[in-house]
Amino acid sequence: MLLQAVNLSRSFGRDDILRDICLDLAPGQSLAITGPSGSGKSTLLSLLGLLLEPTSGEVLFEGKTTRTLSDDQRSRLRNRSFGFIFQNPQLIGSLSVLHNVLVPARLARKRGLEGEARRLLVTLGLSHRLEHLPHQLSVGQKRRVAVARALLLEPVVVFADEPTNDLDAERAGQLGELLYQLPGQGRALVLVTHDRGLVGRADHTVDLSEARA
Amino acid sequence: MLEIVWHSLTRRWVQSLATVISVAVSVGMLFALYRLYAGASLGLDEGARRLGADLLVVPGNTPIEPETLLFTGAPTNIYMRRELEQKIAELPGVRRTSAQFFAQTLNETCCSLSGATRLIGFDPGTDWSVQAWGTGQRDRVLHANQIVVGAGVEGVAGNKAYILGQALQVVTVLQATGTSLDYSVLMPIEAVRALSRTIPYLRVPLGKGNDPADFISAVLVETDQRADKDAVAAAIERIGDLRVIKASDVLGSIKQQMRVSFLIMLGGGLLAALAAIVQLFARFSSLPWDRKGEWGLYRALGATRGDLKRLILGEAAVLTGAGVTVGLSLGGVLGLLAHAWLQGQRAFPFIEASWSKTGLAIVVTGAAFGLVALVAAWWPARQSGRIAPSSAMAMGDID
Repeated sequence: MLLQAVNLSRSFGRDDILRDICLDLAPGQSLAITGPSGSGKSTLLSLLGLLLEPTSGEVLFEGKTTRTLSDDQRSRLRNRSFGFIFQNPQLIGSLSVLHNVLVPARLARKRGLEGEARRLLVTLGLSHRLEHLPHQLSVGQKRRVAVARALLLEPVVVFADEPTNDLDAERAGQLGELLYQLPGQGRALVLVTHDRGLVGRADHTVDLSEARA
Repeated sequence: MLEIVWHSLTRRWVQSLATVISVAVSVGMLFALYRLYAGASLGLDEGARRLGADLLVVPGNTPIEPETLLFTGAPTNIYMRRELEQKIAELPGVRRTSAQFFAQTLNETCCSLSGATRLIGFDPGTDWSVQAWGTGQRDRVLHANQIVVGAGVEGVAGNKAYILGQALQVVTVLQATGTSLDYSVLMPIEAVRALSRTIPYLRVPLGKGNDPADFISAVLVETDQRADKDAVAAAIERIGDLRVIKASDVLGSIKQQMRVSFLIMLGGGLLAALAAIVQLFARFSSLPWDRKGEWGLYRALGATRGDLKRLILGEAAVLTGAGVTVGLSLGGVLGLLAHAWLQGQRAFPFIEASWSKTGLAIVVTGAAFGLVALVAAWWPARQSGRIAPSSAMAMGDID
């Protein structure tokens, strides 16, 4: 298995957000996490993406526990193996589109990826926006920049939190198409979404309203 | 990483520029003050060393302050009877004496040497001071048609110069003293007296009926090593209406005045430095909160805590480095301007500090501000490193 959750629980104070979540995800598979607001969808995504530590249980990556990893090791794992598309695109305002996409490469101290970043942006229809700053882009364009940033280092798992929020139906459809090409490339996709179209195409679904119940 | 640092600073260019200017102004002020203080101290020490006399005896009615006469060598027309030198030389405790004769201030039409402003006669037979400052030929006897020129006079040893219609040979160029002596022409005392006798323009200050040969302007006195200088000075003053200037007293007094002046200026410089330090702390102390989203995003994308520390310390290093570099350049220019102004005023002896001392001042200033920046940025860098990567999930756009 590529990614496994074993009895994963998370509390904030006395509030149990997630309890005993178990799931497996193989390379090339997709997982949709659904549930009402406040049900812990984003928390589960954060736990699986090693952005947050569980109160109990553990996440296994490629069969190995991540619980014993140091903070730096977790950071490196996120950088080299995971890609994140946040609910808000989270672009750095001071950096151009191209340089925003290159941030993970800079943090990994990898050089020579500018060509790959350009290619990704061209593929995503942003060839004319490479030197623009984020405030000059539409919401859909920002989201596509975030997708390019997530894919630059060819991660084995891509996490996307409500990726089609704020997008019109056409843009949401295009982004959905793009994301569902990833499993075909041997990568795993973990989605938090309310979009029934996206949920319907996933190999696995975790409905947190049921999980909690 | 450096690219991220650079983009972050240029994006917040107003804040960045304010920090750089603040650091630059304080570094510039402190560096310029150091150069002036070091230059003035060296100038005073060198002036005293090159004077080589323990006492300077001038007429009692000399209208200018002793320190002005002693160190700035201000042109002045003062005269006393030449026999007084012999009386002084005979006093107990006096080791040797040498007389000088100050001619009328030179004007631009008198000489082929540009930069020359006054003519001083000294006695090559008894002098131990003037010729010792020269860049060569110190043992040679100076003839009536030969001159010694100050460092600020455009003369070259071996070349001819025309002064008041006389063709004279420059035999020595004196080392710089930072005083108006640098702009003086020195000749054998008898030659200056002869010029003063024959050229009406030079004779004016002595008055009608007075023969320059009967007068001197000042007597340099070196006392015996064991002699009480105060007692010798008192004995000289008892000879007649004379004023005795003690080099050590004047030097000490000027140094004290100089220290007070520089301490006041240093206070201003330190206040500017304090303002720069406050600015640095203010700039960095709010970083963990102001840019929480940015740090959280970097953490989510794989930045380690160390990476974040490097980013923040990198920003501090670039801002401080730029401020120190600009400030040192500014201080250098300010120092040069102040030096030129002081030289123009001839109010203060000034000799540039050596390159090694200036270099040390540069290193110390840079290191001090580097340390301040490090201290200012360290805690915020540490706090930022603690921001959880999950905080990126909840953030909006990042400016």
